[in-house]
Amino acid sequence: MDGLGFLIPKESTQMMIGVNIILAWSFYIMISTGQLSLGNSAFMALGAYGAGVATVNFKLPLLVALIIAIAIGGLFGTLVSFPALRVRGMYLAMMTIGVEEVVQSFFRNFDYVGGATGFRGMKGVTVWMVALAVVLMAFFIWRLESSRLGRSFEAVRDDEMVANTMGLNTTYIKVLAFAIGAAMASLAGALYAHFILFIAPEHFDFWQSILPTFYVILGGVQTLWGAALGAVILTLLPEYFRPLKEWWIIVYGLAIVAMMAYRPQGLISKSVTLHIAKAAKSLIRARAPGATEAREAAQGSEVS
Amino acid sequence: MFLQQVVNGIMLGSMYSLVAIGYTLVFGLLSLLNLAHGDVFMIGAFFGLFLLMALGLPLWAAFVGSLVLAGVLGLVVELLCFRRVKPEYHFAPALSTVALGMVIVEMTRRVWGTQPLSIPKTVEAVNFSIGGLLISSIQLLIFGIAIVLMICLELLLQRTRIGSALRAVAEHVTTAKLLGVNVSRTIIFAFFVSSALAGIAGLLLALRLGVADQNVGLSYGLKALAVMVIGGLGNVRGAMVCGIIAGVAEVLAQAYTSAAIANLAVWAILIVVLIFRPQGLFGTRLQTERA
Repeated sequence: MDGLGFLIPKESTQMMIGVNIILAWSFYIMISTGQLSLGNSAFMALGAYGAGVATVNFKLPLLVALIIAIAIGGLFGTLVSFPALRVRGMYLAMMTIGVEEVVQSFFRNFDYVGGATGFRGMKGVTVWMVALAVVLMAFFIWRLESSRLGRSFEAVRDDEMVANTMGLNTTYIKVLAFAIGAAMASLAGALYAHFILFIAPEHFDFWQSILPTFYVILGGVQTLWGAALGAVILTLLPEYFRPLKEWWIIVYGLAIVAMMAYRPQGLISKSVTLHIAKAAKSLIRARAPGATEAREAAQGSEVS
Repeated sequence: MFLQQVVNGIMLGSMYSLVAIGYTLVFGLLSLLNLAHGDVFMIGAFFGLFLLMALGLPLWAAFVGSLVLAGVLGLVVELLCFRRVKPEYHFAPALSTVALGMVIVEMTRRVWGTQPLSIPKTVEAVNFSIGGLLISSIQLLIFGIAIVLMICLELLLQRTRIGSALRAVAEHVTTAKLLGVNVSRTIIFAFFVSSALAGIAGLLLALRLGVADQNVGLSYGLKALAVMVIGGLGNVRGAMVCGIIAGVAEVLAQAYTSAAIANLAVWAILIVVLIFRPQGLFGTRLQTERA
């Protein structure tokens, strides 16, 4: 490849970006109700193995397997979130790490799916399917956030007690957010399993849970787009750090440390998206002055 | 047989206690997780190994050396990940310490290679038999050092000026400030103490395993973190007791069931404790508010 061709990632990297974006959003949905989960790789593992068994052992079509994965993730997420309702903050984070360790150990000792040697035979996910999944999820979250439910997520995060007093069913909202997040992680796992072709319990360890939190916090925890940007950047960085050989982990680590010290709110915060929206609006206004005047006139008539 | 396993469990547990104390000291002061702690614990063994092998120092000097070096590394962690952090971004240090831990592990791999290194036989392995229980000299050394350190820490916290400053900051930062406590110095001190303890614990674990392993931060370190939570966030005595409990539970599970279940013992305890006592086993009102 010559020129800037090296900047275009390989097909497998493109799919990895998609999967990581969905993982980042799964963490993002949970954190948007103030629930810090560091065990999402458990849900990812369940989705990956669930969908894998569905396509390989039961010869079900891929689409059905993906839906099964989402269902498994949602169900298990609900199951986990009930005891998790009693614990909050760092206690919740630790509890989810515990769940992740238990699930990982379960798959290591579950011979039906190969135990520690792993499970293979899944195939069939293409870049376009991953891209479609990402677009669907983006649309879903975007709609969710502008709905009444999305607003109540925000209210629960800001102050649970106030939200409760206002008549919101905080239990329902927190369980729902956790289940949605778990289902998304599960979907990501199912997609991952069907293009990586081979899965093993150690693919879903503590690190696999931590990485999406990096994406979200680096990109920005306040918006959907920040989380996605973080996933894209941190998936691509290792590719471009390849000339550094083994040293890239050190550079990567120090970059995150520096980032947290100087911009803890992440690259894209709400104020950034507002600025972009404003800039876009003024651009449109400058292009179409007539329309703006008409609107202003309409507003003026409303006032008078 | 049963008693023998309990004794072995206490030996293992005392190490969990040492590391968990480090997590809990920092959490008590700042209400923030220091996730690089497990990796400081890991590198403690390599510091000790370096002093033993490359410089040919005696074992006690290696202990003092890895105490100091790990303590200094703890100061670096504080400087890079905690000093600048604003209270409203309380997830930031959790992530930057994970990243720094990653850097520490990778540095260890660059310097000492990716394979675990075996520790030279510095302690003569003599087995003592006390009432039918077999205890090796290494086990005795590990347990002795761990207990002495914990007693020292308890005295430090309860009897000295800096100890009461530490407890005051843990109770309420603003009030402590008003009473004239130098908060930033207290925090730095806490980081040094917690990392120094982790460094020694790392060397002790290496003596027990016979190797200095690059991966113990994730296995033992993460379990020690669970122990800290079981004991109640920021509760030093809770961390000590629960470390022992976790060690005994793990060794008993290993003896009577399988290694896979033993590996999960700590996590199972964590989940059960959090379901029935969300503030931890020894958690009080203070611990609930901190979360």
